[in-house]
Amino acid sequence: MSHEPEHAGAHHHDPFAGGHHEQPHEVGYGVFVLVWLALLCFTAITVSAAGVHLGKWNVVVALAIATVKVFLVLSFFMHLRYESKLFRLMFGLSVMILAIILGLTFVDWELWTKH
Amino acid sequence: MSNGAATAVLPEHTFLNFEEEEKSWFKRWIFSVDHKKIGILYGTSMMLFFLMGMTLGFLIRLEMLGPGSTIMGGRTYNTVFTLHGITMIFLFVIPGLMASFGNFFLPLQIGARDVAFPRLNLFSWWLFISGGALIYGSLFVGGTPIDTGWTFYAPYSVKTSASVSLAGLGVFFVGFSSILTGLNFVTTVHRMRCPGMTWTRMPLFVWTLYTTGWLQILATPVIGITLVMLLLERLLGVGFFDASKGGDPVLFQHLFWIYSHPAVYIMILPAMGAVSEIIPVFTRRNIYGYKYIAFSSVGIAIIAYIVWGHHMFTSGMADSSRIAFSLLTFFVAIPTAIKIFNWIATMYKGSITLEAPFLYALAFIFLFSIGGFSGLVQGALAADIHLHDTTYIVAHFHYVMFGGTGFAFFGALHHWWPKIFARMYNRKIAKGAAVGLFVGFNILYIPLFVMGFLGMPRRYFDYLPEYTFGHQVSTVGSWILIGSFLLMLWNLLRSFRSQPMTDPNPWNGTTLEWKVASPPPVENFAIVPTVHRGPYEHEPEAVRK
Amino acid sequence: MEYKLLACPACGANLDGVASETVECGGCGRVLVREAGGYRAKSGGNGGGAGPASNPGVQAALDPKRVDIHALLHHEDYVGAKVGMWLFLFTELLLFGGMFLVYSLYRAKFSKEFHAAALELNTGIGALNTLLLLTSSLTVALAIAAIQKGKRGLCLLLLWATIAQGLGFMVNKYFEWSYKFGHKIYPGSLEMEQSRTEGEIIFYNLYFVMTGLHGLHVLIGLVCLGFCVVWIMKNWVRKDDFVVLENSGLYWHLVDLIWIYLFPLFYLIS
Repeated sequence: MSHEPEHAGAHHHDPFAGGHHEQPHEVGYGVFVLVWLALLCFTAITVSAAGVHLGKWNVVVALAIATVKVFLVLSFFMHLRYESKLFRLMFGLSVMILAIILGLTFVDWELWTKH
Repeated sequence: MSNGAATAVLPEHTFLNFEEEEKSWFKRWIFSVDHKKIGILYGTSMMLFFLMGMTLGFLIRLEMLGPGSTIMGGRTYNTVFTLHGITMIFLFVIPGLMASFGNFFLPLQIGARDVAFPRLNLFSWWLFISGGALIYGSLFVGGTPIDTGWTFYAPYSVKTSASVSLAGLGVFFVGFSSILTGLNFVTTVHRMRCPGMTWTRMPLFVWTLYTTGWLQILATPVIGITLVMLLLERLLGVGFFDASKGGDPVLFQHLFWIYSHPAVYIMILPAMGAVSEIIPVFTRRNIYGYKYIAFSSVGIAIIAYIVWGHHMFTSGMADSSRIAFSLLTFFVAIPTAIKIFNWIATMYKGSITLEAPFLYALAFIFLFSIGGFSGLVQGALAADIHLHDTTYIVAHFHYVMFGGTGFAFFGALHHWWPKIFARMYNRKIAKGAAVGLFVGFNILYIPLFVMGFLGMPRRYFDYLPEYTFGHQVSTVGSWILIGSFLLMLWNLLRSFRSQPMTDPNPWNGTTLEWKVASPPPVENFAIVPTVHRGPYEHEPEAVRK
Repeated sequence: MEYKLLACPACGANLDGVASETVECGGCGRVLVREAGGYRAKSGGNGGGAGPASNPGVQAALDPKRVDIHALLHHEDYVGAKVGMWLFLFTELLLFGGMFLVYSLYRAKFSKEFHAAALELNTGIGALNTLLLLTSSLTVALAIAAIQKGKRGLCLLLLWATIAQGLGFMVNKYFEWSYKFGHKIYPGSLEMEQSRTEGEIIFYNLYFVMTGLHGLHVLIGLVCLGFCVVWIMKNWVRKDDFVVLENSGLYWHLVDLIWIYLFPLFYLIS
């Protein structure tokens, strides 16, 4: 009378626990190699872009390319693309909070170090 | 309450005597991964730290009985209020109801057998204790005892030879402990709710534990990196906060408050959650506006991240930034007010039983409201220029942290004591102590509001003679407060002498923790329950009584 | 107050400790619904059970002599383990985020000096380190795919490749830093204080702190991967239970992510 009813209760109709028996998704080797090649390309692009004089835009370009690379690593190597929506939501929330912190402080810094 | 009848049949196996035969008490407690034991470990160590902090507070008020040096010199006074702040904030209020009652009751309230990562949970407590040991150890090792104030502001914290590094490392450990607890609880709520427990059937206490967990995860690392930079600054001279090296001390303030403002919501949310648990029980009513209260916790957690500048209005920030932070600060009153209105609406036409837990909940609403209103006063930029660094601020944060979280902690203690220990304290003495605490608290802190408004600075051991009367009244208030607290504590501890209770649900609570025996068995539930109704809805049988 | 035992009305099986409103009887399999005082069969009929239980629905404890409580408390949750790891990664995001904040503030303040000092860093080594970390991310991702397919040997090979590249990264870092130390460039250096501008000193201090903190995380990641290698060899991490490897991989990718931002911000300021 101890475990079995628990099984009946806990696993039958269990939409809220998100599926305790989820199988990990399989990603083929080929996808990873392709992503890696793309990462190498973007690295080459960002190194050469650094040699071009774009003034203020150099930083923007460098960060943009870095963000693309980060996006590739997150989505494929770290499987975010294949995980349930919950993971992407949590990630988005964390990035949003970081952006608020960075943004608000930066704006204030610009204002006060300029006078 | 419940029917009385003949024989008392306690469950043979509770979490307290599990594995009693095989292991020493040391192994059963210090190495236990049972969330209930960890909750008690946290609660006990936090109470010890609270007593230390309270003693330091007692000494502060003794010193302030007269102008000039009364029982200690200026340097000692600085150390005393620094330790008082660090102890109370990092070692009592921040872990707060989350680490103690949250650990004990989160799994029970969601129908789980433990948290998601029990060993990580134990590790969290070890980190907590180690951090506390480092903080107090720093008094005896290295330079003079730390005297920077709990806020560690640069440049003094960087330049002083006082033992800041060790204390800072201790705070780092405590912060890491906090992060791991938050991570554990968020995962637990996502993954371990029992069948039928949808998000909107969770107790409101669980909602606050969840949102507080996110605050811990996303805010605490910032103080972590700030402390790392502070340590590197002291040890290697990196110069991020040193104006002579191109750095900026105000940057330290930004980084510090980017964490420490969300930290105050880490402190208050679980306390509000406990109040949300107590009120339905003692008014015998379903909570009014469940979804509003639940989502207001989320609202508070989000707004928490965008108001930190209001701690820095006099630091030299640009006008437009200060105006922006001031405006944003007012927004936090909205979700807070939603909670307060809903609690009061719950009480309306309720069948009220004035027991100690409910008295503490009422005190919470009153005291926290005063704290909150004074917070709005401070949020008004022009007012804060005058009030910043006065005892007005001291009164404000004691009303919210002590009158708020502190009183909620005492209320939770009285509410859940019979569940954790199967003992009932003397209810009359408990109520008397609660009243004494309330009276002493107000006598202690109202003068600080008045004096601060009139210009009395904080963190000063000396003052102009015109403030003497106010300080003396305040100190007498502290004696009433401390006396009542000791009475409350003695009353609770004395309950261990009385017979164990047989009634697992003396207050007729409706949430799942009241459905298990007292003390709960180690496995929490013989069979994992399936839930079909909201957390505060009464059973049909109970209503029929 | 007496605590009454509850029993199934059909077969008399002990329902002691049950609190659910609906339960499947362990004795006869009938679905039972709770009512005051006990349980009745769902399709109707009178409830059996004991008389009015003084405390209906209060769960008793299981007898540890009859039930393996430890097994009951053992909890395996693959998705939950990943959720926990991701939450930990978010803390690292905020930790390094704080440092990146400090970097961006000082770069805005000292843009010319940052530019000047950055020219002294060796872009070649920086790019090489980037390649090492990117490729090590590839190999660890492949290692996880391998163990998923049951290819234990391939997995171990790829993990060793990952660790080797991580070590290569640290060796490069050692050479870079030694070179700088040799030129009296280090935090708190008196030489620097005398000969360099404030902005340059801040740049170098940020460089050492941020790459140092990153390097610490590389070491931690290498240790985790090392444990994975050992546990795979012991078959404690295997095809049907490899979440430890997956989580270690996630941590390693985080180390890569941080470097992806560090590289342009320190080495590619043109």
